[in-house]
Amino acid sequence: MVAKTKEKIGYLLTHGFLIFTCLLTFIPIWWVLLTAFDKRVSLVSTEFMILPKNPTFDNFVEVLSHPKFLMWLKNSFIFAGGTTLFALTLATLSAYAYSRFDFPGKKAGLASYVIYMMLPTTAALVPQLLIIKYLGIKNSYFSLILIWSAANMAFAVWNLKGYFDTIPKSIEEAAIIDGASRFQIFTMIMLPLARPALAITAIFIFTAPWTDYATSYLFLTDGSKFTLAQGLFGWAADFKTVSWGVFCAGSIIMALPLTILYLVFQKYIIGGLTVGGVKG
Amino acid sequence: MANLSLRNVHKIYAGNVMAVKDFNLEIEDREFIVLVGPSGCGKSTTLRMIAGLEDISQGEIYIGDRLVNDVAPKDRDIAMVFQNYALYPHMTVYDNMAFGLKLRKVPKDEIDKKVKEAAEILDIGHLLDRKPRALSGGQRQRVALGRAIVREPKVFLMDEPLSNLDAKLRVQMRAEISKLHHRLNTTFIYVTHDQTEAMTMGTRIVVMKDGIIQQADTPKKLYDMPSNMFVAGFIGSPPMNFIRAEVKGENDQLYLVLDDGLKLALSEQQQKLLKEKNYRNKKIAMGIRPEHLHDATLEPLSKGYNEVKTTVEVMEMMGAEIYLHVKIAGIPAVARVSSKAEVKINQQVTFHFHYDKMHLFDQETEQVIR
Repeated sequence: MVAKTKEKIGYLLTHGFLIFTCLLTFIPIWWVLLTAFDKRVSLVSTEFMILPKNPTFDNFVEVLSHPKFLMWLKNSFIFAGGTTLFALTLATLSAYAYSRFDFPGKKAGLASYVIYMMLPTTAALVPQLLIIKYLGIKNSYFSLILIWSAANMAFAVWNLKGYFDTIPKSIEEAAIIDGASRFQIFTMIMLPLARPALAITAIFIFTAPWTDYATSYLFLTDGSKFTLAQGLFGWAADFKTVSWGVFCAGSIIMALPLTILYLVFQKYIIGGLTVGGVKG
Repeated sequence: MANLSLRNVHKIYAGNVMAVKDFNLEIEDREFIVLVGPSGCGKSTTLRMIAGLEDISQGEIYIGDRLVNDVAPKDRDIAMVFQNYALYPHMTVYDNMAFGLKLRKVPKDEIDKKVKEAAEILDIGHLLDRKPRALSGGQRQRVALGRAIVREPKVFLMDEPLSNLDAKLRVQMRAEISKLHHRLNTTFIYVTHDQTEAMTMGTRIVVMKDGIIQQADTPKKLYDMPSNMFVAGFIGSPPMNFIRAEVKGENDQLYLVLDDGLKLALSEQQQKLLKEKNYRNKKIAMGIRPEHLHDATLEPLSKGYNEVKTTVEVMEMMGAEIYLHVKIAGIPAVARVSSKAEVKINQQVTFHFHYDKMHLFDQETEQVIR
């Protein structure tokens, strides 16, 4: 009986603590929501609020009709979408090769990715800047897509290779005997089977350019290519022209695509598609 | 339908590892060939070379009259069933079976007809819309068979298709595959490590060890006339007992003497053979199958029978039979006697066995003396 009561108290204490920390981390997000949906202009307030005092959608209307904001949104989509497409295509092909073929330099190639991951991001900045300059693609969409793709290749290749490794070879052999070519096996068998891994990898790649500030700040000087993160930071630094409410509404809109992506692909994060095809 | 010919086939892996050595076999049209042997004996490698999934290091493989060494698997007119089923997890049963036909651009209505026919043969018609993960092991293996059937290949290759199933299902599927062979009337090549599967299904069995064919024969011949101690020990359950013996005798009369001094009579033919091959005063291995050791209380001694007395150490009740673990001349042996025999552990027991049932092997080469 005593042991059970003790267990109960322990349970309550741990969960109480966990709920408290969750709330604590949620406060800033809640504050942003409050500011975005309220008519007040200041970010700081002495008043304690749980719900907006003067609820409004004005901030959202304003931000969405702001020409610069829409441009940044478009840019962010081009950068993040482009990086995802470019890096995922390359990573999927090379991960399949690393998983299924034996070739000279295979181990060294895989190891080089790990070494790359161990280097601090800043170490690559100067060389990257130089390469972009030499290629003559400064301030282009492709320049940053290239940099973000390179930064995400290591993770993407390792993650996808790990997944391809779990797909039994006999499934491919069955397809070979069924008459499929290498390319057909890749597109008709391996890619559909790797969907969960592809989804997760895609989300991770997408997140990087979407939320990155430093890279675009360093590489982009042309205001027409600025990303959301960059633009919003500009607003935050210059709160005279834009109100905090508008800034917060912009931040919420920026957070939306990722939130939706994570929610939609949640099942893939848990999913195991290969279950059932082979025994064991 | 096709005959197959494997001529001097070798498989050598990197590091000079010889997986298959000088494999020669002529397979007739409509035969059910079983490749059997312990793991690592090269049976699966041989099958995979026939399928085209492994390169042939040396030698030639013909399917029909066509040399297929450099022919792609899809053009060899074969179908293969894998041990782990290897179904496409993201496709329905129907699509799994139709995949090969779709790739071959077979018209849709023809695919539909073939898939449904095969599904009916295998009794999986009601599962066509399911994904593999929603099937039991037995059902998955049927789908894998179905995928092979719809292709109507010249040769069916099966790589241990039953070893992932539980014992009961295995027996059932064994019979179904045999039925399928009769129904489809085409050449089957089946790999297994299970000698019971080999004996019950094969029209001819190829026993392999260390990449070398030990014997290729009908089940009956393998059982009755094994060509060496490996085959004799591999085929039959429990395995054959081997007992050291010396060939002795003066003048024309030869007999065997066991380590404990017991004398065993030999048939005239056996004596003649041993004399011809100069085995007098030499040690040999005498093999006797457990089922040929008869309980003396149930079978009286008559001409041609030898007698051996021993003590029961372990009894295994199998239902209709009892396996008695004993020692003959100090060597562990098993006798398979009727459960009517009244025996107890530590009890003295006498076995009778006919000399015609004794197999004589050379002690060194392990080959049968003939």
